[in-house]
Amino acid sequence: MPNLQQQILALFAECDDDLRAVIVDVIRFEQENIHLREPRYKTLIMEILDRVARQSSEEETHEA
Amino acid sequence: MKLERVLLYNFRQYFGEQKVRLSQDEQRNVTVFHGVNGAGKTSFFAAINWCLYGEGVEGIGQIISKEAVRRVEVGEEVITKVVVTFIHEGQRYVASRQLKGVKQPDGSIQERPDIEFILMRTSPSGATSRVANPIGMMNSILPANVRTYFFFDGEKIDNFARPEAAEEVRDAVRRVLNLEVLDRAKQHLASVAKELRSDLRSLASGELKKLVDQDVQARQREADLKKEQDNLRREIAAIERHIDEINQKLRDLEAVQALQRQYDLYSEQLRDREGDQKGLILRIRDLASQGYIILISNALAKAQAILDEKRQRGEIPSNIRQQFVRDLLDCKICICGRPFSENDDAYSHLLQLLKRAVPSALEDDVLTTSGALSSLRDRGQQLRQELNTAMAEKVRIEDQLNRTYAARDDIEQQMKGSQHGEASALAQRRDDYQTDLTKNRTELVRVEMQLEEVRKQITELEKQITLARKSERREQLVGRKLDLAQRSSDFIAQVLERFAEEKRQQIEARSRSIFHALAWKGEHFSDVRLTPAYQLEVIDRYGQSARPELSAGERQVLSLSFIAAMATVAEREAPLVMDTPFGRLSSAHRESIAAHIPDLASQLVLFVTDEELRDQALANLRPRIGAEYVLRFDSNTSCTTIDEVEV
Repeated sequence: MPNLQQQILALFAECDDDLRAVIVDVIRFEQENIHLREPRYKTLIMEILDRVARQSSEEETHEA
Repeated sequence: MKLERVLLYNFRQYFGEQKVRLSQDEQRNVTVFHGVNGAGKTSFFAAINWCLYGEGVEGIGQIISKEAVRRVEVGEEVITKVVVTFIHEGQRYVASRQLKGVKQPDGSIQERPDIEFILMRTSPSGATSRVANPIGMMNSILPANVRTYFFFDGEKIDNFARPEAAEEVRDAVRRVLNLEVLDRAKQHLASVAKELRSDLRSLASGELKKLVDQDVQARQREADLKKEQDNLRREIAAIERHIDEINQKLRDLEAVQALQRQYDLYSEQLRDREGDQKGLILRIRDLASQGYIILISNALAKAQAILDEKRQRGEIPSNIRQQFVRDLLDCKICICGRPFSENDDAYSHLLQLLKRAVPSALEDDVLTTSGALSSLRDRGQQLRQELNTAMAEKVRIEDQLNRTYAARDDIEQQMKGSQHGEASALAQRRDDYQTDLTKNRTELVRVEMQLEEVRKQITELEKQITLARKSERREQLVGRKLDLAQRSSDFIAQVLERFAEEKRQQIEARSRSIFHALAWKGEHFSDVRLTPAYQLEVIDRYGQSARPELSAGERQVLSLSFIAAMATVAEREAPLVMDTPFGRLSSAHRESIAAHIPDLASQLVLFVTDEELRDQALANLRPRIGAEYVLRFDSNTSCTTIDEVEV
């Protein structure tokens, strides 16, 4: 049986690549900061979204 | 995670360095620490928690060994350290936490706040590196909020079986199964999405589309005007060719040769004057583009007057620089060379001046502003003069042009009235062409002015479109990020609910089977339920809730079943480390648990008293014990030593 991390990642197998990239990175951040009552999440999540959005935009331009 | 070794150094009653190896054998997966009350079981248990998480030492007093403190001089440093080596997913980790303190004159220890926590990782190939984010890594291996379900005090775990414990049970499930991580991810993404939505609202405008439409229209207008300009230029060139041809013919006709020479002379003068007029118009335009300086002359004068007034009132630079006054005060010598002291009037006077003086930077700014105002006013006056001169020149040239045109028209009339039929006809035709030429040239000027205007408009639109494009690209990016954040949050919410329910059912089933194996009254209890509201229920053979009548030991067994169920369902590779697990259990439960508990985790570490693990319970556990230690407290030294028992 896969470990918990693998079970959780498997839950997102059906989403598109961009969504999965965001979710996996955000979950990793939340996991690493679970000991904090109020982690400073905004900047990091914004960075993840920005990176994935730009990458996806560049890929679309490249394909076009 | 499998614990491999633990090293204690000056940790509470463990003076000096003491090391133990924990069993990792799959079959003999149990490590037992025996110790009487006060021998140091809880301290050892706390040392592991403290090393890995920096927690779990509350209420156990001073961390640093008192014996170690006793042996150093006042002002000397004492170090306490715990090192835990463990294997996780094929890699060896060495966690080390160290605390330093300095001995005080009263014998106490002043702990230094900077506790050092280092996590080293060695891959199967032997490469060793320091983990950059040790807390984050520990949270990935066994999160801090989950460790209490794996490293726990056996006497206190009956909490889950209490009727009011639904909240604790739900928290435990959420933490052990990482549902809390998913829940936080969902909430944080939703919060970021909300912020992005607000950003997008401020960016979205449709401005770019409007500007592009205007740009398309302006460019079409430019193309139409350009076409009109080309047609007019062609038309003018054709007319000028016709006129040249007529001129040539008239020059060849002897009857009007003299008049034609006059005509040519005036035409040449007209060309020169018109060239001058064109240059002058460009000059006037250039001057007019700076006309704002003339328009703001009143405002400039007013600003200058305000500065002058403030200067007179002493509100701005007094022409005495602070630095100059300070230098005089420092060297105590007047500018006349006479020395003075702090008691002299001169000193008080300079202090007064210092108050009025201003920092050199402000003075420089004020002087620069005054200079700029003055320069602008001078430029305004000069501009006005230049414009007046140019306008007067324009009038003069126009006058000359009018007179030259009149003189040429006079010649033209004479030629048209010539007795020579051909010359008269040619002059008439030339006059007609001249009328058309004037009309077309006027039209060309109009078209060129419109063209210039539309080109300015296009340049301006291009600038606006560039700005709007930048804004729209940002709008698109924000929109894309918002979509990602919202969809991610929604997706996590959707799977979280399904995953939580699936896991709740699995924990319920597993708790049931473990409880039946551990509880000696197995037949009396027909079922164990974990309700959707996270109530941990035991149902008796009559179908009634048996929880209110559970003994303390049975509640402990139920809680243990629930914890073991969570651990197995979560498939977390983590040891069960239990302090006094059998303390409140009767012999039947001890024997049953001792027989089954090694199967509930990949590694089991037990801290037990000599009383709680003996006889049949110890016999049941014995085949699974891979390492065994006795904690011996020496009342002469107040220190504990760890003796290994041969297994």
